[in-house]
Parts: sequence; C-alpha cells; structure tokens
Amino acid sequence: MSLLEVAGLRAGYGAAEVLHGIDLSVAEGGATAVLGANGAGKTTLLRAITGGVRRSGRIAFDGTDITARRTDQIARLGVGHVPQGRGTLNRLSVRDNLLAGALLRRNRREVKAGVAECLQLFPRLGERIDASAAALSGGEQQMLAIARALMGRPRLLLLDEPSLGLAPRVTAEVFAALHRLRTESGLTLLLVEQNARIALDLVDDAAVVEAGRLTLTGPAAEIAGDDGVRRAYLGV
Amino acid sequence: MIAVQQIVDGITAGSIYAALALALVLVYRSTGLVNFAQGQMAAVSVYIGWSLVETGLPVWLAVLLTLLISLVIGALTERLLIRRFEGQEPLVAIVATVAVLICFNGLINLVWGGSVRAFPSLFPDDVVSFLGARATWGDVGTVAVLAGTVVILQLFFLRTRLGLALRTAADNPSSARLLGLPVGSLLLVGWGLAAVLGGLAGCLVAPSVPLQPNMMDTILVYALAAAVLGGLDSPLGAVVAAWLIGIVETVAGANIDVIGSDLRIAVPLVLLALILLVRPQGLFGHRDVERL
Repeated sequence: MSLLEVAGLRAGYGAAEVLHGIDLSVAEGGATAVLGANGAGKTTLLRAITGGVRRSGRIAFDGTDITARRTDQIARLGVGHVPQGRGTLNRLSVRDNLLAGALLRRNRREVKAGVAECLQLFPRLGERIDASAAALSGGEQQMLAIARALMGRPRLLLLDEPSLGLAPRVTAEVFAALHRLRTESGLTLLLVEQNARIALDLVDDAAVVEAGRLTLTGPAAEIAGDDGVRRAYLGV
Repeated sequence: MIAVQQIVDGITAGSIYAALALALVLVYRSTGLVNFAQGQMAAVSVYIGWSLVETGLPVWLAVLLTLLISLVIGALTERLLIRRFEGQEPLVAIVATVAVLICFNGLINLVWGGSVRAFPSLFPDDVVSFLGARATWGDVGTVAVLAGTVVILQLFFLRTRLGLALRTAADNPSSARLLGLPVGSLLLVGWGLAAVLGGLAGCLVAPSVPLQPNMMDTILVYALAAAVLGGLDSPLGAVVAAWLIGIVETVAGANIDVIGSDLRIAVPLVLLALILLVRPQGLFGHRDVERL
C-alpha cells in the first residue's frame, strides 16, 4: 500500500500555477526520486505536500487526506521535510536544533537516544554539538537539517536537493547516510534532486518533472537507462 | 565624586528599565519583533491594578491578578491584531505595534480619564542603610523581583520545551512549522508572557511615579536602549545594560553640570550609539551569520 498518494495535484504561488496536475505515489518503505531542472517544480511539489503553497487536487498520507491541512498538522502526522536551503535554526546550537526536531515527543529517554542515533549517523555533528548552526559548513548544515527531521521520527521524509551547494565528497557522505537510513530503519523517502546519478543510486522509483508535469515515471534502473534522461541529467 | 548612593539609585532605576526591557526581549525572542506598545500595555496593566486596589483587595493580590489579566491582554493583542501581519514584512508589524500604543493610550483616557492617581507600594516604606547608602524596601524589592525574574526567564528559555519551542519559532517560523510546531499559538504565548513582564515593570515603578496615561513612555525609551544594548535576544544582556544605563544616567546627571536633570534621557541614547559603534550586535547579542 502506498504511504503517500498524490493525484491531480495543482499548486503554485499567488496567481502563478507551477504544477499542472501531478500523480505520484510512494510505497511504504520505498524511496522515490523526482528529477528535474531548476524551476521545473521540484521544490513546489514538496512544499505542496507539506502545505506550504496554494494547492488543489488530492494528497493522501497513510490514507488520510491532507490536502487542506496546515503545515504543522501534516508534520505531526509523521511527514518530515528537509527544506531547500536547509532551514537550520541558525541562532541555536546544534544540540538545540536536534532537540527542536523532537519537541513533539514527550519521552525524554527516547529523545536522548534519538540524539545519540543522529550523532552516530553524522559523527561530524557530535564534534560541533555546542556550536551555533550558523557556524557550520554547508555540508554540516545539511546533515543537521536531516538529523533534525529524523528527531521527529517521521514515517515519510521529504528531501529537497540535499546535494545543493555541496562538494562531491560531502554529497557522497550525506547520501551514504541516507542509504543507511533506508536499509537500517526502512524509512520511506521522497527525494527531489538535480544530481540524477547519485539520486537514482539511492531510490527504487523515479520520475522526471518538466515544466510542472511528470513526463516519465518508472523503476530507477529503467529511468537511468532512458536515453532522454541519460542525455539531459546524466551527461552521457 | 561618584557616591555609593548614586550607584544604588542607578541600579534601582535600572531595574525598572530592565523589567520592561525583558518584556521587549521576550517578544523579540519569540516573534522577532520590537513591540513599541510594550510600555503603553504596561500602563494599562498599572491602571487595572489601581482599579483592583480601589476595590479593597490587598496590594499583592491586586498585582497578581493584574499580571494574570496582562497575560490575557497580551495574548489577545497578538491574536486579534498582530497575527494579521504575521509572515509579512516585519516593518508592517512594527508599525502595527505603534497603532496598538495609540489605541491603548486612548483606552486609558476613555476608561480612567487623564487625572493623576497614586499607586500603593508592594513593599514597606522603611529605609535600609548599607555601605553608607540608603534605599527604601521598595528599591530593594524591585531589584530582588527583577533578579528573580531574570533567573526564571533564563531557565525557562534554556531548560524548558516551551522555551525551546519559542526560540525555534522566532529563529525560523517556516522551519518551526515543518517540525510540527503551532507557530501562531507560540507567538500568542510570547506576547502574553511579555505583557506579564511589562505589567510587572509597571507595578514596580507605579508607587514612585504619578499614574497617567503616558507614565511608561520615558521608561520605554530607556528599556529600548537597554534591550538593544544588551543584544535584543539576551535577557541577561538586557538587565546588565539596563543597570549600566541607570548608573551612568544617575552618575552623569549628578556630576556633569551640563546634563543635570534635563538631558538625562539623552544619556542612554549616547551610550547606545557609542557601544553599537564598537559592537553592532550589542553587549551580549549574537552576531547574525548568514551562509549564502
């Protein structure tokens, strides 16, 4: 059964419509990547799912219609969203950023264990635990943003271009952690990326978005083999 | 000659500024706004306290009730007015706080009239002497209440989940929503708590000044200077800065003939300008670093 079901989704800002009818589903425990160029509507898709933009159509999470829900309500249902630009709390310490991600959880011992798990996943954050988030490098901020989302124990994690602005080595480090999350905790992922190669390596299914419409969907291996995708996104 | 007495007077005056500055810091920390109506809202609290005392309630109970009512007034102000400007240009919301200032000033004139009244003290009138200086129990009580408030506020912000939630919402409202926090309700809490602090400042200063609708205006100027000087997001910074302003103002007023009593209000502003030249983030503030 699919955990996230998007049907006929139209979304945009003010009078401008960016998405013109998107159909997409992500299976429980699965991972889907949405590939596309700048401005194709990748970020808008994630924002529409968590209620950040004007939207119509139908978005269902675990069978619940969330199309008209507020952002904080959708988050409380179990949807984590690592936004574009990371959205770290820059005046707060790394530790407080992590704890802020777990504000809705009441069990102190579990939260403490959650912090330990995050630091195990991203050891670099442990070294900077008392630094302010503003003082971190871009890669560390991305790791912090992911860890913070994990602190809320989401069932579905939305990731908005985690590779953006990162050096290849750091990108590899971030995606290695995402691989671990998939295999070890079975977390369901929806990832939007420009870096098709590294994204397709992580996911089961993929879709290509162009000018607000999905032009191609299928298993990741099939998408990776598609001539158009190879030319446009893989540079071969 | 700087007498101990001047220092003591400075700290007493500074403690009043500090209480209102803490309210400003609280609003800033929880909503990212400077509330220019904070002093006027405090004046409303004082008038409510006065009316409660007039009904025959003991002063301490009247003040306690006043603080509770202030909580509601602060929360309602956010819910009914400031909420509309949430997520827009901060300047728009700040101008809205000026409108709140004018409304509450008019409200006081409407309900209580402009005539001057007196507010009883929470503390006995006796005088205590120490180190050659003299202070009333009111002065000592003011400093003690303030010190207690700072400790509680620091613990609240740094050690409680609600405190962390308020800091999160102020730092990045859209991230806070993605983490499941009801940002609107948090802003409401921030404004309510700030109004309580403002009301506390008002009730502390009220016994020593005549009650009139603009009674908190001058204090707001000092409090704003203290809040900015302290770094806007640091309660401890606001208090230290408020004491510094109180002391410098008293000492300068008493020892520099040109300043006297007329130019005293210029002292905090000059001090503010000088310190911000050297430390733009204030004494205890964090320098905002943005990675692009």
